[in-house]
Amino acid sequence: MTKLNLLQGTLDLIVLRALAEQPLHGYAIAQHIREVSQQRLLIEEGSLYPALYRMEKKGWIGSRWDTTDKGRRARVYSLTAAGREQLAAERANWEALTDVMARILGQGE
Amino acid sequence: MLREAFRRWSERRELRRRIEDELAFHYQEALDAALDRGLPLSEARIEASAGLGDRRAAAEACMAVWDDTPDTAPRLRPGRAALAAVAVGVPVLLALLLLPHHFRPLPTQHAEQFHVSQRRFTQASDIAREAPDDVASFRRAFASIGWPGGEGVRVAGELVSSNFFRLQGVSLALGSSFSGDSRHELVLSDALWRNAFAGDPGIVGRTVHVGGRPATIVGVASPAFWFLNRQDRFWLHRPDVAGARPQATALVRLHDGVLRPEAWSRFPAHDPRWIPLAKASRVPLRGALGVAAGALILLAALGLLQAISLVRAVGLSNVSLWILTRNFAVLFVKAIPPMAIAGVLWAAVQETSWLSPASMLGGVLAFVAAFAYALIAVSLAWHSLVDQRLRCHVCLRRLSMPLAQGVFGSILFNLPATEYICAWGHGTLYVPEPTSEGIRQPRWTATGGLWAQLLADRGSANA
Repeated sequence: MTKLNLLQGTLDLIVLRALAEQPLHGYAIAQHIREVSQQRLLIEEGSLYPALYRMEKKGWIGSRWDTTDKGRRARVYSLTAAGREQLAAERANWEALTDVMARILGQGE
Repeated sequence: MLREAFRRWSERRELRRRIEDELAFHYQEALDAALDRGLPLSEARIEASAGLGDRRAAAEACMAVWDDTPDTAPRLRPGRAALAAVAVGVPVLLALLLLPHHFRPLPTQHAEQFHVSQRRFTQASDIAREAPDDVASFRRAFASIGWPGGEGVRVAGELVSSNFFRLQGVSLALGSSFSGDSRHELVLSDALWRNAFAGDPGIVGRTVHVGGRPATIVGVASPAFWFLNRQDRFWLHRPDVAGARPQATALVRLHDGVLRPEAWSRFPAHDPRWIPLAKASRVPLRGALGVAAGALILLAALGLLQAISLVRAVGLSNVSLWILTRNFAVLFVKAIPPMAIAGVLWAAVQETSWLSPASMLGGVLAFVAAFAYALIAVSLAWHSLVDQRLRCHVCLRRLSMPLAQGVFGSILFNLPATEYICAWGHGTLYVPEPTSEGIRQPRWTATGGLWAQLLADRGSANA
């Protein structure tokens, strides 16, 4: 299966979408994305954590320490109200972009 | 501002700890997942490490996000900037404080002709009496000086021969030099006269108590006068007591081409080495150099400890030599601030009247300087040794991602330990926790080229 390269700026959208369903820790976010994309999207953890910190600083997500089923201490991230608005805005932006791209690529066919 | 700096520092510290914990958790989860898929432990470890990528770069990127600095911009960390500022600033301050003193002319007339004996000896005062035009004697003393019946002030000074001021060609601001009669005679420094006696212009001829004994004030030195050090607050001449032969240092005037005073020929048993007065008077600079020399010796000792520890742990190679050189340089930079601070405090005590070691504040400051210096020296030594224990045996970088293993409730079958890994994939270090049986040696396991192979596989898969 061909791996897909992540488009610049889409990581925030993917992470916000993953967190829209339920609060997750960093490892679970990476796993969630991997599973939903059927192993086609591979997010480097080196990119994931800075992105999480950046979004937390912007107030889109919040975080707290929690204990996992295995008894380990994990930092769990959840979407804030500002994050939901941002997700909606980025989703609309993405849909507009894909619509335009589809028109451009479908030209003359 | 200081509170803000401390707040930011502790916030960053907390953040770094959080990042470390998060990445360690990530690694542990990835390791579990790989083990669940049936991979052997060694390969599971490699996969978990490789999945995490460059952990340090990720941590730095997170910190950069928090600091609002772009990932690619060069950053000077606050801790290092402060260290650099202190390392550069304090020696400069030290130089500014000491150099003017170093080039200040001595108050003694024809100071180039004067020398002091390197050691004290019992016949110095006898020689001074025999040859008053060439030799004087002096001896350091501490005494409490005050009005009779009143509370005295404890200060440093000198017990001197009666020709002490005359030999140096020094005029007093008030009164005249010692008469040499049978009384205890006292010359006050300008600072002591002003501070303890309120600058009383009629002080000459009055009697005060020096160490519980009466002494007559015969004069007050000019504000510019000092001899060998700037802490002395009095010069006391007391008549010789029969049978008492205290040791003293000799101050001699040697004319051109004369190697020793003529009077010395009558005392052949004593042929001391002479130090020019100018050289003996540069006390602060000499002291600062002493502090610097002490620090260099300390550094050399630490460097040697590091070298022994490092070579024992990882053997001798170009890499270990490089890391040793780099560590030594860092150690040197770390040692400069305490060295310079101790030097500045010491010089300040020497230079200022209100910081005399005999005073409470001066004593406290001198103690603080010495204590801080010793504390930092011990800390550096400890850091130097501990630091070597947790380094990769291949690349010598610091090991990271500590993983707790075992349980204290079952130390026979599942010994509690911490496992560290090299973030660059060279191996793991298993460090057993100390138990009642004692401290076990850490065990290093190299992972060879497996990781490189795995990375190559991943690279080809991605392509």
